[in-house]
Amino acid sequence: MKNKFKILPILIFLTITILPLVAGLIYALLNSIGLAGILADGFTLENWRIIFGTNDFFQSIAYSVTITLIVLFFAVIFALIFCEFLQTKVGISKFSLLFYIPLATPLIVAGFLTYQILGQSGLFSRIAYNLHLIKDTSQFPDMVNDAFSIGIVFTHVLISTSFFTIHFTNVFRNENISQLKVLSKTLGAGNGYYRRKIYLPIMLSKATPTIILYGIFILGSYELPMLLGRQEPQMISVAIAQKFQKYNIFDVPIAYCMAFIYTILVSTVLFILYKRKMLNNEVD
Amino acid sequence: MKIVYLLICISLCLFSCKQEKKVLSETNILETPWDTILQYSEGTDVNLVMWQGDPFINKYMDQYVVPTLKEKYNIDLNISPGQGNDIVKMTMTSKEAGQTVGKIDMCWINGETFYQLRQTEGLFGPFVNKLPNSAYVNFENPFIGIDFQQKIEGYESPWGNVQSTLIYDTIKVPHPPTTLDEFIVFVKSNPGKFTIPYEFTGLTLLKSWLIAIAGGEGSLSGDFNEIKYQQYSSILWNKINEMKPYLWKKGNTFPNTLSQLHQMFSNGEVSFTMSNNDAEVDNKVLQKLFPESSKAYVLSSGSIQNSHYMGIFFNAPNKAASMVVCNFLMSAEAQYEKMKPEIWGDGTIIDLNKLSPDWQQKFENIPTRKYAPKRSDIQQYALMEIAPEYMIRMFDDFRKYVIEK
Repeated sequence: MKNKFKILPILIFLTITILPLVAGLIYALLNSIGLAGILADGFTLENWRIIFGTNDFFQSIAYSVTITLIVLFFAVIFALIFCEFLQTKVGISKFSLLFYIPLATPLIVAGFLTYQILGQSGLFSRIAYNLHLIKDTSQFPDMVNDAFSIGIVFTHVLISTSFFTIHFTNVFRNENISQLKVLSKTLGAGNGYYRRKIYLPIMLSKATPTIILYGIFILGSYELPMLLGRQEPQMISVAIAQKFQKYNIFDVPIAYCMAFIYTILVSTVLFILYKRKMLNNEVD
Repeated sequence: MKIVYLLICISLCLFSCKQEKKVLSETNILETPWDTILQYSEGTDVNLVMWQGDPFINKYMDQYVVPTLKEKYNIDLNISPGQGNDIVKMTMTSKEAGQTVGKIDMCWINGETFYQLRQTEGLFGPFVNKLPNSAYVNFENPFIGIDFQQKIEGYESPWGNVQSTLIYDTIKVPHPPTTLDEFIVFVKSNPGKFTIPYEFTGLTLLKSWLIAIAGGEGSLSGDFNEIKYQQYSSILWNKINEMKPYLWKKGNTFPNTLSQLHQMFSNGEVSFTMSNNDAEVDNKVLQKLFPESSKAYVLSSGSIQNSHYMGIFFNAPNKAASMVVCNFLMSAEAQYEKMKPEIWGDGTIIDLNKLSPDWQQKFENIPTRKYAPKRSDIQQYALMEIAPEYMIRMFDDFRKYVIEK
């Protein structure tokens, strides 16, 4: 009887969360091989051949991974700096609300704001024009829909930094790092030693699962690359959505195929990280 | 507890009564007399999905169509947002799920959506000849009776007719180019001031250039022709690539949406925007989105004219009332209201010669547009929509031969 009560919540959890996802994944697979969908015309590997026969899909994956790593790199560094500064110098409570504001902003709104600020006809461009720093707004550096994805990275870093700062401050408190700092100083350690051997290892190892999961969120982001990115290269969600939404309904199975491969790739990476114990909070 | 049961029973009775009234037999609805259809429609709801991106159109629907339908036919029209591919996906999902009675009754559609909905047999019909107001429409007019080279065959009721235009700022561009070759010259001498949105309206412009390259109106009519497409599209891509380095952002990227281009035009980043609705410029100036120096025009090489329509879903729960709504939208009074520039400015699908002299006079006395060209002046440049496969191919090839190049 006791076992039943133990299994029931797990079954409910699986039914609500995993089952629909697996069902969706199976449907995507069947659709991509012509065995599901009203346009299906029997088994075919044509959609898979199209994806593996061109570079577009893998370019999108590579581009998405690159953007994700760049965003995480900057956001984590900024958040670590803010966290230490606020915890030790100012006190996070005085500024905590400020860090929640970017998180309360929907990504699409943040994207529009970036467009209005960094675009060639945006706020900074107009200020530069009025200060006679540029002769025409078109001379303002290209930071939206640009070749280096500055707009996308900027907006993601803005929001991610807030998220990680709040997360790091919680880790800081929970791990009593301020006391460890006092202890290390008592034992003669300098600031550099404390940061290298205590602050960074504890913070990063504790935050690794969150960083990875947030990275997956950035990897699949849609609104910002749609608004601030280019048609070439495209982040993976935009590329998939375009196949789903544009004019050729016979591209829908290709979209399902892309979605299936992407999900399998991400799941595989997560599985490997899990096996390497990078998805739990244990500090070695 | 008894009270709860009683409430449940009353609710079920009320619900079943309303449902019973709604369900007019699927099989004979097209043979049912119009008066009976009106009778069955009374006191029911109709759910419409449509693009809601224009405040003028929304206002027309909310403040005129919805209350008038309620007043005249006691029909509650509920409008929800959605367009194009969303609608197609919705019907595909319903079909796959074997859903014979859906939640949505009708939708606002244009050519490529009609093509896709016909491909997936997502539309109910043929119902248009059932509508009394269809008598005022000239279905022999190819700009109405044929949608993207596909005969409408009673599967969608015409609602409005528009012609694509380019919109420019008369102060910045005193003499706008009127052909593709003139555009190349203009763009080279005014770098960064022109771009093509990578969406429906931009593709409409590209299609008009393709038709012009192929030899003008009628040169690409009929079914999709691969040989012609290859021959003329390669010329088009070469010409676009010739001006690419001088386009906005040096042609390295293109706006994904028309609203983005409108915004860039309104803040002076580019000198041109475009619209599939020849009257849109008046709306946008009235909204103060565009400067008063804006003006719309069509290319002398031609611009595409097409109609937009209302369709009823194959699994619409209330087909009878949907037909009543379609009929009302085609009526002289609804078309007249819609055509006023300060309301929407949408072109009518009614053949004015079929109307009574009073109505003819009313239509003729509608104030002329201020910033858009007169319809009678641009009619001579009207090009028919070409087969949908051209647009599907051009969407992919623009990416392949222009964006990625």
